[in-house]
Amino acid sequence: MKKVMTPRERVAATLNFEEPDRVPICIGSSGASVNDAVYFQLKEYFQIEGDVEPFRSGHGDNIYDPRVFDKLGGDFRHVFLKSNQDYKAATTEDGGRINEWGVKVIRVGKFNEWMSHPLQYATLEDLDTYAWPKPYEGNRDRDLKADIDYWYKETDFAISTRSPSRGFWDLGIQLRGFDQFAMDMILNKPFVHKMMEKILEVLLAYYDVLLSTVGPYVQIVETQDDLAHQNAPFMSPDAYKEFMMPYRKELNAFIKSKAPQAKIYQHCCGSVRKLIPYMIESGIEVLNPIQPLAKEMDTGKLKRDFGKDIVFFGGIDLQERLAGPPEMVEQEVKERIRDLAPGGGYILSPANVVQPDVPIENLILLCELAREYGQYPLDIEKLK
Amino acid sequence: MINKVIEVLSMNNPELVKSTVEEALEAGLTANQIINEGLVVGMNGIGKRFRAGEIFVPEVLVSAMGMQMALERLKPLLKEGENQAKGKVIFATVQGDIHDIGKNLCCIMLEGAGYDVIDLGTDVSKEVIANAIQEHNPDVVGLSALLTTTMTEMPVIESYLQEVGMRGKIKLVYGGAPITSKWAEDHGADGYSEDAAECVELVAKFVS
Ligand code: B12
Repeated sequence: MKKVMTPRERVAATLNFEEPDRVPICIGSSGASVNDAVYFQLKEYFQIEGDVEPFRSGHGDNIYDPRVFDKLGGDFRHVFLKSNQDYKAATTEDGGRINEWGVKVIRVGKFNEWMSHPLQYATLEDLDTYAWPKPYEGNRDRDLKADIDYWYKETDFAISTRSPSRGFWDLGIQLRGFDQFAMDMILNKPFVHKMMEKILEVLLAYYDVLLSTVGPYVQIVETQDDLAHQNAPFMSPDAYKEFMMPYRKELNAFIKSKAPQAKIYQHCCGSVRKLIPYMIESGIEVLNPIQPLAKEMDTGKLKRDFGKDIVFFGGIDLQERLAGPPEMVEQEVKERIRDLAPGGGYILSPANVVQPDVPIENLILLCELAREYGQYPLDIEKLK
Repeated sequence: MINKVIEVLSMNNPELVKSTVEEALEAGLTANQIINEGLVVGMNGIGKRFRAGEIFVPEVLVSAMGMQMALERLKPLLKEGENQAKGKVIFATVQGDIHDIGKNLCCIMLEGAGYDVIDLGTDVSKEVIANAIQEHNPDVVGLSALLTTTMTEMPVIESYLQEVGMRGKIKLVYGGAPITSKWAEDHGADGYSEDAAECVELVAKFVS
């Protein structure tokens, strides 16, 4: 009989590119949580009584309830900052409210969406006087110390932070407007650099608040930035190197200084392959979500080309397979494990927040199959 | 000279496009020639290079801006009868969905190719689409969805347009990351395209 590892040991091994007892599973990270509607279905299915307080509002996923994730068999606990308790949002005539970044948030269908672009017409000087968020205010780290003490000392779960904010490009296109910010990269370079500097300041402060409490205890620190769409990165690799990488490097170095033992994770949707070498160079050690149907995201090739340098986290397709018939879910689990798990360096999860079109039976099946097919040593015959 | 107009569009410099257009006019080319043999051809090439992964979204947007500036100068110079759009297209991102980057790119490329484009924005209901068809009488209606949970809105719109007797008046095309050509075909579309360059070819097929 091989030794059964604790979740923390399992994740530690795979992050070190060693084969643990089985492929670790994550439900509940910033890039692999479940939509609230899915959460309530799961809660009912598992007959879990009593509500937990949502940790935020206005996103697709606002509830973090380990009781549900444990039923699915996740290996992780996540620690994260809460919202600013002193922030009073101004409201707009059309029913929106202004968030801390100065962006108007409006309800669209089931989601509250970030809609306006407050820096669209801004000049360089405006960036100095803009009311940037103040991460040190608002008691965002409330409960954090108690959470980390408990999870770290009293349990053997793997521990990761969730991402406290969107990333450089995400915020750039939101604040400036997509078209304008994209064109700034060619026509107004100083503006892009200054914007990135300002965003870096805010992000550093967020990570300072978060990691001053939990830094020494976590195995993964999550960051995010959606740099790619279905067919390509939004920007050329050269533009990434010029505008994103310098600030990324600083952020990553800061995270390492506060959590030297932890691996830095970046969530980045879409066809990101062309940027992976530079993400690695900037200090990213774990890549999420690996959208297998996006162009150039063949998981076998990714593992071959980058598998020694970066841990893959995610991989289970949400654009077709996870909402499909059970055979499709099974095929998906086998393919991802076969491609990504050899030699460790793989944590299995859905390739984004699970949406309400996925039947909960499929999600439950996914986790069962992942435990079955994810046993090391891998049975490659069975995975065909 | 016309080759210079084509080339300059991809040089990431809208001001240079403008001055090149002036040169072309001085050299005796007509506005119509500069647009149709120069700018439209150039923009078409941009779309192809984007599809091939040689250039990225910022480059496409800057080229489109150069084109826009050139058109502002040239359109008033067009002669009677030359100023006709090739056709009219309505675009919308379906209800519940706010992804608009891809839709906007399609609109830009279509405008660049000489179509009249009416962009209804994001999170658009079937009623608003029907009203817009009534008002504008387009040749083609393009629907965009980026989520598996909102792409299901497309066949709903399709049957609604049947119900209100408008389906036969237009060609309906679908697009967005989760859509495939097979799915579009099975769910009531007349056409599908994977990217903005192909979208122009698709629309051209229906308008000619
Ligand atoms: C940017 C982005 C966002 C931005 C959108 C900003 C904006 N103003 O558009 C923000 C952050 C707001 C966002 C929000 C969400 N997103 Co989002 N998003 C993306 C991302 C990274 C890129 C999309 C994009 O801009 N592509 C760039 C353009 C150029 O490409 P395109 O849209 O595909 O368009 C091209 C073609 O498809 C075609 N085309 C497009 N439309 C049409 C129409 C016609 C008629 C034709 C012919 C052609 C055509 O031409 C275009 C140009 O070449 C994708 C990742 C991906 N793989 O696509 C996820 C993605 C689409 N999002 C996803 C999700 C889950 C969400 C959220 C639900 C997250 C949440 N909150 O829980 C919300 C939902 C918001 C809502 N109500 O719509 C998932 C969807 C999964 C699924 N089940 O379908 C994706 C696939 C990411 C993933 N990893 O799985 N998102």
